[in-house]
Amino acid sequence: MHDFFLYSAVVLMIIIAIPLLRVLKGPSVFDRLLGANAIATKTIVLITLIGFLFERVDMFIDITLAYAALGFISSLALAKYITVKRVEVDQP
Amino acid sequence: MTVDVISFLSILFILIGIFFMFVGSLGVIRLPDFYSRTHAASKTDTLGILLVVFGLILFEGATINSIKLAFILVFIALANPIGSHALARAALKSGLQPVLFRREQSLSKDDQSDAAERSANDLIREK
Amino acid sequence: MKSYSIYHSFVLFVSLMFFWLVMSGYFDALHIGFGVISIGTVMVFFHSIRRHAFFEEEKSPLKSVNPIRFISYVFWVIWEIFKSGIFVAKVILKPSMPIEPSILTFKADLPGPYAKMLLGNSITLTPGTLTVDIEDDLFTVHALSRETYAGIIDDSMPKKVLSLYSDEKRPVISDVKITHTNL
Repeated sequence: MHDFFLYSAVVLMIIIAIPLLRVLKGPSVFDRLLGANAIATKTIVLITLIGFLFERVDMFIDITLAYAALGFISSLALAKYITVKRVEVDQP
Repeated sequence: MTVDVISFLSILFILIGIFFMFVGSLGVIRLPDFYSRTHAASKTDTLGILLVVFGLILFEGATINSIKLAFILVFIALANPIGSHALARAALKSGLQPVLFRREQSLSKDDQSDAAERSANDLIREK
Repeated sequence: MKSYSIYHSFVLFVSLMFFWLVMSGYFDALHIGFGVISIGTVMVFFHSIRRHAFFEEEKSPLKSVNPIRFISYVFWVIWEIFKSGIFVAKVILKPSMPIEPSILTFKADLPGPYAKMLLGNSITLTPGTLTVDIEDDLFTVHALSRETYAGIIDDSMPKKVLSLYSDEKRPVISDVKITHTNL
């Protein structure tokens, strides 16, 4: 079971790297934010898997909860900030 | 024996969940405009994460960690669509136009489906 | 301003205490005592915020909803999460990507902001549709392909949300506008 968690964590890391392409390419700031948001939500699962890998689930789950709340609130705050600021967008 | 079945089920759930997360990542790259990408990020990713966390709950068994994992499950099921909705709303308010189109091969049945939509609208108005 | 009864404070206390117990993992008298002290402090300081009405005519979300129908609604939503995930995955994995994005706007006549929030959430979780904006009664929805918004324009899903709040049978949505092209 330990090996399974190890391999799935490695595969998950590769999957997490894919939306980085969208963060680099854009074209609008919202695409970049969406890519960053997708990375943040998948990282939640990665941290939990690392907890199972080190057999310290109790500690890592607390980290996961804090990380999930932080990611959610920061993405909401950024979306709100952009709505108020009316950033310029390039039409695709 | 039962333990083996549960381990097998949890491995199955985690593998299916990782597959869905991969498809979600692919969708963020492949789909043509921001609003369609939001669909990939909100729906497919949510399903993938829910399946992986559910598989981990099955593996962990009935302990206090499982209840914490269930908290994460509920939190992600609520928070992920809300985050995507907030981003889409911000994009619409800042004037990012969605790319809307109809495909050529379906143009032949256009009249038919337009009629269906009109009749649906009439239906609503009659009520 | 809205009023809160003893019942609401009791529900809040029990749910916060449950959260504390799960998070701490210790069940001796000392830790439970710490929990009671901190929950009491939070509830005293939070009291004035809870009495503030964020929307006009805001009612308590607990009282107005029908509990039996709400539970069946929750199971329906879980099933819809599965269906929508599989639908979007199919769309992404097909090499031709059969999408026809369109925007539809409609007015929904629902009792209260919580009902609107539930309708928006249900639209987001059903296959291929995403609530982009809710302004007063006006919903803006992005749909991925043509068959996905059938459940909205034939009024079945909005009626499901209305049935959580009241028994009356009436049309919920009106003024449906569908935009297919932005040219």
